Amino acid sequence: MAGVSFDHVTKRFGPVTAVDDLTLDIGSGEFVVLVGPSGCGKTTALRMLAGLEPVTGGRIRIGERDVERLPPRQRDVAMVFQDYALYPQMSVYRNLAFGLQTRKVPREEVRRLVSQAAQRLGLDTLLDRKPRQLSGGQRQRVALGRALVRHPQVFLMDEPLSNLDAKLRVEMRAEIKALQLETGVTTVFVTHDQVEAMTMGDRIAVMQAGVLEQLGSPHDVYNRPANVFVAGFIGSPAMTFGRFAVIRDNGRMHLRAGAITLEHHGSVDRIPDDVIAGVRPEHVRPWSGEGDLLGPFSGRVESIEALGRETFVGVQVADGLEYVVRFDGPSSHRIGEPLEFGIERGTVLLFDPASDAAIEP
Amino acid sequence: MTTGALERTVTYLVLGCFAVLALIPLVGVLLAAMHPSGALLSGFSLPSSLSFDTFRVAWNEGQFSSLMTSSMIVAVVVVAMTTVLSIPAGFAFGTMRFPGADLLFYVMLTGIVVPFEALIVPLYYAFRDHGLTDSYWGLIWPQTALSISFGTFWMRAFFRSVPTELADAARVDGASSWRILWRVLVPIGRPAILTMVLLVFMWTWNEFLLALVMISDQAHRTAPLGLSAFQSRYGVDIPGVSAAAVYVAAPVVVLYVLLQRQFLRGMLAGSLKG
Repeated sequence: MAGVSFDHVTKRFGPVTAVDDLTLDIGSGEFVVLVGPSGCGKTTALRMLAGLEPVTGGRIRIGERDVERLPPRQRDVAMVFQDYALYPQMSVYRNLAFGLQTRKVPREEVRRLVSQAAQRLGLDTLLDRKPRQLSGGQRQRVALGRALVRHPQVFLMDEPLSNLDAKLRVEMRAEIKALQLETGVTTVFVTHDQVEAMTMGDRIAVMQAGVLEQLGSPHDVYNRPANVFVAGFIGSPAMTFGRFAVIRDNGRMHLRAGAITLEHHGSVDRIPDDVIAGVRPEHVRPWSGEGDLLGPFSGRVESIEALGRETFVGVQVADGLEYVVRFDGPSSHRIGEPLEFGIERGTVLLFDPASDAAIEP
Repeated sequence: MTTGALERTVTYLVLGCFAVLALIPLVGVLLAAMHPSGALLSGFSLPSSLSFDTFRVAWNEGQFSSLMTSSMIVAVVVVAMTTVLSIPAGFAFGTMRFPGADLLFYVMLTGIVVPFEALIVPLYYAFRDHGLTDSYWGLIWPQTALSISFGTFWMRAFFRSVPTELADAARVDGASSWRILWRVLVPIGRPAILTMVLLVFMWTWNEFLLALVMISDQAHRTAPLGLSAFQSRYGVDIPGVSAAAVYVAAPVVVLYVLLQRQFLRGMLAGSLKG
């Protein structure tokens, strides 16, 4: 297996910069997820790694080799595409065997490798079928099998689960992760779904507008987001933000926005006079008077999102601030009703409004 | 969408009228061919008895065994060369980015845009100077050249309609462009390719002006020229020319019937997403 590194890689399409000075090191055997909204450059980065898109500048290495000038067939990578891209006229067997036959692997060896991969993915009874005779999940398995069968240095996956229904997606998520652990093949996985990113990646690379915003473990990216974009993109429902004035009082600090005042502990010196304060919904609870909550704050219910096990209630507070309050189980509140809530102490994250960057506590 | 009984009846009526309009001349030709050779006919005429004798007479008089052989040689070679050259050309224009691609493509399109009649006189002199008149090559080269324009245009449209991920997948699987073309894309392009084959065959088979200008010896004359054998100074042998017309049209009709399903899929290939 081999590591992958992007070294100041840039890609421009005419005047549009799709990937801007991307530097990213992926360790051998690591599972890294590139995540970001549509058009953030994650697929372009993956395609450059595959050799399907030439780089405008910078270097890409797979293992010890510079590969940015090599054609895809010399990079020893395998790719799973969003729409599977199975060869429609070929049987499942021939789809799996195509890459091996192209590389002139002896026929007996092809048979052995295909049968091994087919067995691993539960495709052994489908080898004679054409792709159009398969369900979406089966097609996805064939696409995975086609990557697996070649034992490549790197797996590249371009939103491979986005065409599956929700239940199958959860199953395949676990399957891909298990497969990667089993084979130990370095994997770069592209998705716009932050749940996929959080659950699958050893590390997550969050991209926006061609720029790598943060690279870190799912825990780090979630709990210590580098900036407002990452904080808002990772987590569902999203973190809510408000602009607060910083009040310093004998070494103590308060954040104030209209009627809301939040106590804040931490170094006073490095904090500007104005901050963006971000709060995750799971840290906002209905007011109970418990000591671990800041509050009470009150507002009117704007939206209700009942998920069964929990309910998220959107609350509009005076001065334009909005918070999402998490209830265990159902909530009896209705839209327009007043609601009192509190914010767990020590959970508010601060960002510098000038740069959007996180302010370390 | 569901249609009411009235709407369906009107649809059938309108389509039926068009079908009758299209079929009347064909039926007229068939009926005329069943009259005795040399009979004087005007317009639509029912024969007093069903006779296929005129077909035998027309075959011999028009020397159709030689004409059909020549036509078949020319059409098969033109279709083969057009197919073999248009597929890679369409693949290049449809899937590759290279400097001057647009300009080259427009140059290619002139073969479709410029009327053939405008080229035929200089072409005749050029071919005569090279000794290509009165030879199959005198028919094959110009028709192949013109058909490649259409073929490239047609295949480019097909290759553009194929999801790029398919070629990308093959590329990552280690395939060269050549292998991607012949092993991955051509097999799924069968409807488009067979449609092109049918159209090019039809146009080549029916080509009259080029054969009239380039060919004067009987050995190289093609089937459409055979129709002129039934025209004399004193008039036209209507049953004879009708029987000959059936011979000329038959191969195209047979090929169309054989490829009909693929033809329709090919014609729809660009308009419907698979």
